[in-house]
Amino acid sequence: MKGLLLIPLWLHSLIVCGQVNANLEFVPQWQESPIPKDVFFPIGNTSDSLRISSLRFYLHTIQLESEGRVVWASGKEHFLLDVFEIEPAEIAMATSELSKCDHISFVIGVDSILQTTGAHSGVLDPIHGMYWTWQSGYIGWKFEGEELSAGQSTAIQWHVGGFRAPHQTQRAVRLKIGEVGDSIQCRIQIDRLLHDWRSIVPAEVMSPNDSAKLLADRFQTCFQIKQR
Amino acid sequence: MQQQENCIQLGRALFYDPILSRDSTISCASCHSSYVAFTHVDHKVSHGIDDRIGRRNAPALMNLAWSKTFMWDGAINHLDMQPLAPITHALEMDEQLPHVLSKLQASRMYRQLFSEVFGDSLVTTERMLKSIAAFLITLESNRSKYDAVQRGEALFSEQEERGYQLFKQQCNACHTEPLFTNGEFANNGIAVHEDDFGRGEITGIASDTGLFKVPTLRNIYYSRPYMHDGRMARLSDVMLHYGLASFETNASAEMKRMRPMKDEQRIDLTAFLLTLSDSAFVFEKKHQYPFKLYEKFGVQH
Ligand code: HEC
Ligand code: HEC
Repeated sequence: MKGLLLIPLWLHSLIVCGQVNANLEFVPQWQESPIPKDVFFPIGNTSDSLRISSLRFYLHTIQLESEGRVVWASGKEHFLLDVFEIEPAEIAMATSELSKCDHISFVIGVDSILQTTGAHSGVLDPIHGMYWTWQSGYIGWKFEGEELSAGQSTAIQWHVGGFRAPHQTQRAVRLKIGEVGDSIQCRIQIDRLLHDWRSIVPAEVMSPNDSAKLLADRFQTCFQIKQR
Repeated sequence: MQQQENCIQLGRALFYDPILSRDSTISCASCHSSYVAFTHVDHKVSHGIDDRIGRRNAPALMNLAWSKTFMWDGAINHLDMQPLAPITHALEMDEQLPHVLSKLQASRMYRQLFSEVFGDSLVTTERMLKSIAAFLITLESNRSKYDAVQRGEALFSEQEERGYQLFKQQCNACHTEPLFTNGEFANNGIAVHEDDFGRGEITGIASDTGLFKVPTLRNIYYSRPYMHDGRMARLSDVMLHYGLASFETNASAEMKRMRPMKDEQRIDLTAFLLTLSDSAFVFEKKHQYPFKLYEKFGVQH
């Protein structure tokens, strides 16, 4: 089970003259356990349970740092990650200094320039369902699922985006990495995203607003690198 | 240049083709008819696609290259992205867009037109959107009597001239020449209804509640009914609204400076507004239903 759950995203690289391979994997977790797709799993000590049907997000400006220097950067290219799909997204993270890297950073969401410059192709094609049609702007990330609590079911649908003040939802993440092997595993702690969510946001967040901002703040804190 | 022309023709074919709607019954032109400056003739609010669109009056389409935002509330920030709103039925485009693209890909006419423009026949969202935008950009209206006067080719009548002077005092701050809009959002003193808070719905800023995009007044004669929800049927209703100069309390600052207008003044002002009618634009063949093209490919609607 675990092996399968590690697959979600692979940011591959090729070995190019002395440069080293690295994969960046995103693994959705509830506390210490990887989360299976579309299956109810228990949350906390109560009888509550959760089923996640989709978690997708845009990512760009991935950088590897070594002692304050950027040793590798993905550039402005955007990636659309579907945490529960097995389709790999490939990117060359080749750097001869990979072993010395101590931090990784990236931005979640879509660059604001791309939000105002018309139609784009590739992962930014609105066909991927990550663009609001009635109001210009990309959905930075989507979380969809169902929570069962005291026998009651609640559908959760959070489509978080917004690039205009005061509702900007892009968030930068910078994480310390331990020793790098042939992969960097980044956990997404869904327990943090959902912790006591009812007191903060409604079950449906579908446009740029204060709730979307709160969710963006939370999502930013969910990423964690597994230290090796 | 030929490529640009082909792109415009592709956009025109798409604009008039009901293939863009789920059940292939409604085209862009169903709500934006060239004969009424691309608005929905005699419809208070346009219907046919979804509730969101159904609460608003279809704006006239012209001089879009100069617009910074689209829709009454400025929800759309780029002309390319505009067609997505009517094309997709739900609030978000889950299966609709792939379906439209596959219908286009299956059409011999579109495969040919796409390859003439893009070098191969692949239909993509980006290509489709950019083509429609290319056509929309060509909808330029600048051949009205007003334009002729500005170019020194014609003269206003005395009445039109009086109306023009009044216009400059009372209206030009928002309906700014020569586009007859300043592209901003304002409240012109009509009552705000519960079901539509305009700009505020988009920005989430309380003070934007009840603001709507200042519409152009070019071709205003053709584009009745008026206001975002089509609540005013005739130009004379609009003139009465402004002429009484008694506005809702949350009206924009410019409205507070407006002076009441007597009957004759309202008539003068109307006479001026009629000089903004551009019949050459309204009857422009290049903007109309592309019979020849559809005929060539045996496409029937
Ligand atoms: C069902 C009727 C309907 C159809 C079909 C329709 N529109 Fe519209 N259109 C509207 C309405 C209503 C608005 C204003 C909506 C709003 O402000 O919320 C609008 C707004 C627009 C605008 C913005 C104009 C401005 O100045 O703000 C453009 C451009 C436009 N439509 C182009 C198109 C194109 C291109 C298509 C076909 C892909 C299309 N429309 C199909 C009704 C329609
Ligand atoms: C404060 C800015 C402002 C001023 C000043 C102003 N308007 Fe407007 N006007 C607007 C706005 C905003 C709308 C759209 C309101 C709505 O639909 O809610 C509008 C709508 C209109 C319409 C309807 C257009 C359409 O396509 O539906 C006409 C006609 C019009 N104004 C004429 C005038 C005239 C004539 C004057 C001067 C007497 C004037 N306006 C002064 C802001 C202004």
